[in-house]
Amino acid sequence: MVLREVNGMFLGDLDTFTLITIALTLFLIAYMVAMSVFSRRKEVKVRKTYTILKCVDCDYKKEREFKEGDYVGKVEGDCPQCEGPLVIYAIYDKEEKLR
Amino acid sequence: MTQGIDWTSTLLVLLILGSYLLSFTDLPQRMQLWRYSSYIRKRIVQLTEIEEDSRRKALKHLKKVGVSDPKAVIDGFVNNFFLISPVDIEPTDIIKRLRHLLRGREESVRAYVKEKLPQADDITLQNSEVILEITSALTLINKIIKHYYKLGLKYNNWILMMQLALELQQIVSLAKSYDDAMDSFTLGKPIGDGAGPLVVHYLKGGAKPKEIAKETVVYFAEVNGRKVYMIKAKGPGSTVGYPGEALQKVVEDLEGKVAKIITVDAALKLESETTGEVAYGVGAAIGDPGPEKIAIERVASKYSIPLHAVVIKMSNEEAIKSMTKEIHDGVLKALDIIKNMIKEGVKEGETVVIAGIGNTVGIA
Repeated sequence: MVLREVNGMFLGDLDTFTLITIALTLFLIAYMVAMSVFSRRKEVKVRKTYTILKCVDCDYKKEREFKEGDYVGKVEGDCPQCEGPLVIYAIYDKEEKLR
Repeated sequence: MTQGIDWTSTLLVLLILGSYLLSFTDLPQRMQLWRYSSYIRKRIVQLTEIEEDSRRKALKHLKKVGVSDPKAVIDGFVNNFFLISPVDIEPTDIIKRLRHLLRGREESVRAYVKEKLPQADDITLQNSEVILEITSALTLINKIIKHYYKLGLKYNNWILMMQLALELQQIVSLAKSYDDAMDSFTLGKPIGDGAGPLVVHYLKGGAKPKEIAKETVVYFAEVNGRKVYMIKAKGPGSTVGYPGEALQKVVEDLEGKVAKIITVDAALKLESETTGEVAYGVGAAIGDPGPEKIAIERVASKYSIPLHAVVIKMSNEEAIKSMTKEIHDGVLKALDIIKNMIKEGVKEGETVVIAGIGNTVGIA
């Protein structure tokens, strides 16, 4: 009996109202699934702060992660190339993608 | 035997009934109110979490700098130190009155922080002051949102609810940036708003600073035979200084013999613009409530000195968060533009005054 009912459904026993309701429901389910899949695929980005050091006398340049106490203009030791003063030239954030 | 339902008639009846309900009752408004209030409630939870996070960060910072009861310090600061705007229906001397009130408030805040942190150096005091201001601002934002939410519910004002719900995404995003900015101030990192002082830092080279106004320094250097005076807030603590007052003093000391004044500052970008874009024009590039800007305009017009502005574009959020590489690239572009302005717009032997406006946290 159930089988006959199901067969009837696929054979076109349904009226317009039921068909529209089924179509709308299916569309909504498909939309929600698609949205959840696409939102999961968004790239996750993290920001990291870097300190850029430059030698006052030569072209030596070094980049390292920021540490507390750093500020632009701070003299941080001597240049490994010419022994001139090594100064913090810039501090800025860079975005990095997370896999 | 069961009879089939006449779907067409049922649908018609439902449609007519539905249209009556929608047209002649306030059911749709009630539904909107319910929908928007539920959305606002979720955002208030988010705002409360942000506020609590900022309090946690402030507590940690104050503990680190030696405050024995940081909670009492935060509670004593939040809700207090408000400023009542001066009377504006009588505009005579409004700037003088506004400056008096602003400075009075700043002094009260500084005295409060100094009282709680008697052993701290100037940099720690300045950074702690900004951390307390951010915590206070986040508490205020949360309170205002709750106020309008409760007001909307009380009077069933669904339009107020809708407006609040539509604005909330932007407000939450701003609150989140304030919270993120706490890290910059606790660690002393340069922020986006520091673009102006950073331009001056690069321009000054090895010139020595001289304090010309409170927390504001001036540098002097000769660039290709031009005399260049450069003003910025005194770093690396978190302060914007008093660039208007400083610039006025420099120009008055020079008896107005200045060929050009250039102000450089961070500016709010439009959504279609990219971060780090640089533009130049005429006027005082400074976003203070009035006294500093008017001081620059007055001294420039008194001696008929051309007043130029260079701006580095960024969003509101980027201005208070750690400086990004895009903004730093903009700083370098602005630096080139200013060097060019000096070279082409100022003759040898003439004087130019440059003011780097903004918060100098993390920039000496």
